[in-house]
Amino acid sequence: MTDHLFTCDSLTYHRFNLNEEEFKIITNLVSQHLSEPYSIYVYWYFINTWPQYCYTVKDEGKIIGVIISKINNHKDVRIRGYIGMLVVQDDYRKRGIAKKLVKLTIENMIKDDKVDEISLETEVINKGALRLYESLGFIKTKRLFKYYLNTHDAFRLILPISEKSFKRIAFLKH
Amino acid sequence: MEGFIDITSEIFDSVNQIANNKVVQSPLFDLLEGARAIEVSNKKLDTGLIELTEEELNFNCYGKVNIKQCIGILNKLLRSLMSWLDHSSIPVTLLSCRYVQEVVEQYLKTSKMTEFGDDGFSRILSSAVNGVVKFIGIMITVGNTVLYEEEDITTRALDMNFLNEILIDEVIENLERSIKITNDLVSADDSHKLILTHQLKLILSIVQSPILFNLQIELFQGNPYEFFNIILENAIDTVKYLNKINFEEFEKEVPVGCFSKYCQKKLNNHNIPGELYMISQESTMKNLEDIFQQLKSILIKSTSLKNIACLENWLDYDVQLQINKYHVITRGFLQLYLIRDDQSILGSPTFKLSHLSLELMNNCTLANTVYSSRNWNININDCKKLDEDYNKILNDLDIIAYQLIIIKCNNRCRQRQLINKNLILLDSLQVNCENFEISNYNQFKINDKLSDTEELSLPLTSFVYFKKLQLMIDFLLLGIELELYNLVEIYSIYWYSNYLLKHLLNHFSTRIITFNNNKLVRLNNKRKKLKNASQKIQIDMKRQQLIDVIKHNQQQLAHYQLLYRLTDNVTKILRNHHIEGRANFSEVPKDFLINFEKMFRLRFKPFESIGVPKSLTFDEYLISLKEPVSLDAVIKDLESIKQDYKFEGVENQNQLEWMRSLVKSSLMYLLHLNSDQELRSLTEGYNPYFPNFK
Repeated sequence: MTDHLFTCDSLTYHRFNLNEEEFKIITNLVSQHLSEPYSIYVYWYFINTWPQYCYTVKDEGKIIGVIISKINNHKDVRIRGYIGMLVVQDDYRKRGIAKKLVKLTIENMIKDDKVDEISLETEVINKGALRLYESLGFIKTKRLFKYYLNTHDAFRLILPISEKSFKRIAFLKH
Repeated sequence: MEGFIDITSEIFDSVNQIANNKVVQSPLFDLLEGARAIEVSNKKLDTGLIELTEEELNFNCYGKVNIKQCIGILNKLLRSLMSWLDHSSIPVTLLSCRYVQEVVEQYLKTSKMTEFGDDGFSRILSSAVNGVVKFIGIMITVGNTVLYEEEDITTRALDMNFLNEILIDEVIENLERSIKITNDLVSADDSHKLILTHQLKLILSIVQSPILFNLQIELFQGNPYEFFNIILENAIDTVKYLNKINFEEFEKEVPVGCFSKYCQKKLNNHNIPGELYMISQESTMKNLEDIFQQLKSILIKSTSLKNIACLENWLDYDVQLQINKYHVITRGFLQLYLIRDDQSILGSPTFKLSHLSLELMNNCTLANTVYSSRNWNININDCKKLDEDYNKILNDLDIIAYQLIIIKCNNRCRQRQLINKNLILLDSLQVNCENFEISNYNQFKINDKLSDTEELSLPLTSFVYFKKLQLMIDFLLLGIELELYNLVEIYSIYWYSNYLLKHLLNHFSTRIITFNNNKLVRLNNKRKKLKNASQKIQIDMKRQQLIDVIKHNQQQLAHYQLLYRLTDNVTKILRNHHIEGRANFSEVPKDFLINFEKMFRLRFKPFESIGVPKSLTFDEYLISLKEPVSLDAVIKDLESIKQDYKFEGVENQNQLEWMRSLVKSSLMYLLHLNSDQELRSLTEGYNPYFPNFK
């Protein structure tokens, strides 16, 4: 298959190959595991605009994990990568799959889009996600009060990449 | 079909534009649009798929109700109100009540309050529902003015108008009339009448509570506004009474279909479907009592403030540090109460933002200086120019004073973000003040001596620098409370905080207190030479002002000394862990995609552009980790903290508790020193800035 990237621990990692069946599987997987209900437009928004940053993991052809991300021009001064959704099916957890997906995304964002930083939000109570991202060096820069629909606070995490990430926006605008 | 427009051809035209299986995306369609878009046929997202029962579809608001039903409906309405303000939204709480929906829908058509019938109970129910709806409208306005939507409060008003143009007096009059009708009812059980009367009184108190931000307080005059205090006390008693009632039997009587998802399906709803949200009876009553108690405390404390120092302490210890304990109603009202549209403080006709800003400066450095008297003693043209320049600086200082108050009234997460934003403002204002004051000295010799030396006092610069340092320290330590830091960063946070505290203490002792003491000595000397009694009285007033300022300085100094000693000892304890191999503060864990220096630079980015004090570098950080630690000295200092701080003269209870929690933290760290285990996590301690180490 043309979308196959590599195989690790007998699991295959793929760049998402846009087709209706896989699209449905991905949306089901995300909606089962993340607290926020996303509309089809949110998935389309990500997958249609940045298909290169949607990766899946398959076990014998069955999708068991997905990461969906995007790139944006943050306040017109920085290229910011943003990890929107990351899900690994329960019975495949604690095998380093999520970490591989995040690393894959980061590597390609740096290589192809020369991002200045990568950001994401996660629930304050989502200890698993926090452990994962903090173990990679993401820094909690803000706590966002009652950010999620379920009223939980969120942390914004940033992974700095380029020099621009260490400068205040006000000083990058000149 | 009447009222519908056929868009079939438009749909097919747009579908024809989709080629090669590509989605046509408008450039205006961003993530926010996507998140808010309603997906047809998805049960989780399409409100059109909400199923309603026959009773819900055919609910009639104009049918007769009995007293038990009335009590049940009002109880659920009060629970819905508190549920909305418990981080929920209007459609799944208040607008789920068909009476509320009827009132707002009818209001759009008639611009009048709705009556559900002519009989006694219908009139009582109408006045209560209209009262609640009016309060929703007030809270929406409060939210739009001073709170953050979808953060502090979530509205989603479905394009309804919540009686915005109806005068509050009209609503109050109706409620008072209903209380009388209830009392006069002959057909109802006395115990039921009593419950209903209390419910109406409670709604009346809720509707009256916004009086707080219309009160005109004369600051420091001790005017207690007894009538509003009585309203609040009565409200607390009413809640206490209702809290004893078992409402289950009344809620069972609520007509079927009265609360439903009807509004989500039938009104102009841009939101995804939501389950109805209703907090418990116990939480409802607790929240209501908390709100009235908090408003009462705000009223009593703010009207009994004796001077600017008390105001500052109140803002620091009762508002800023306690803000997350306040209900969102209290938080919204508090901000509107503190600063009004006309920039008056607490609605005072004579004390505006500009007075507050001057008083804050007087209470730090400005009292009895050439800048406070504005007696320049220079030629008229220069004087005019100097006045203009000084007014510009004062305007900037007013903005800072405003921002300082806004920071304190926001939730703790926002506080840190606002501090971050304002650091740039303060830093540039410090430069402007310094240029202004030095230029005035160079051109006109305008200056107050700092002490017996020739050094310039620079009172404006000194004030701004002090405020900037305060905010920088708050910014770092607040991050600990908000659990922002990774364990590997924690040493750097205390180390940097300690550095800032050292600068603050140095500034305090070598400049602020020295300057104020020197001014007092000069006034004392001047007084000795005076023979005229009225001149002596004038000097005595200035002396008293300075004595109060110095007393406030000393209290602040004690606080910052305590913070300094704690951060110093914690830094040393953590460094000792690093040296002994129980923690590693110089190397990142193996999977990190960035090195320690990048983490350090991102963490301290907000200080990167600050001119003074100079930003600490990563190299300095690494050097600090090698400094030897004497644990004996740490133990000795921690042990002496308890003896050194007695807090005599501290009148503010929250201030006292805060200081005591700092002292307790020192004892907690003493116990920690007995452990030689690896540093694994931070857990709750006595003070949010000083967690326990496990």
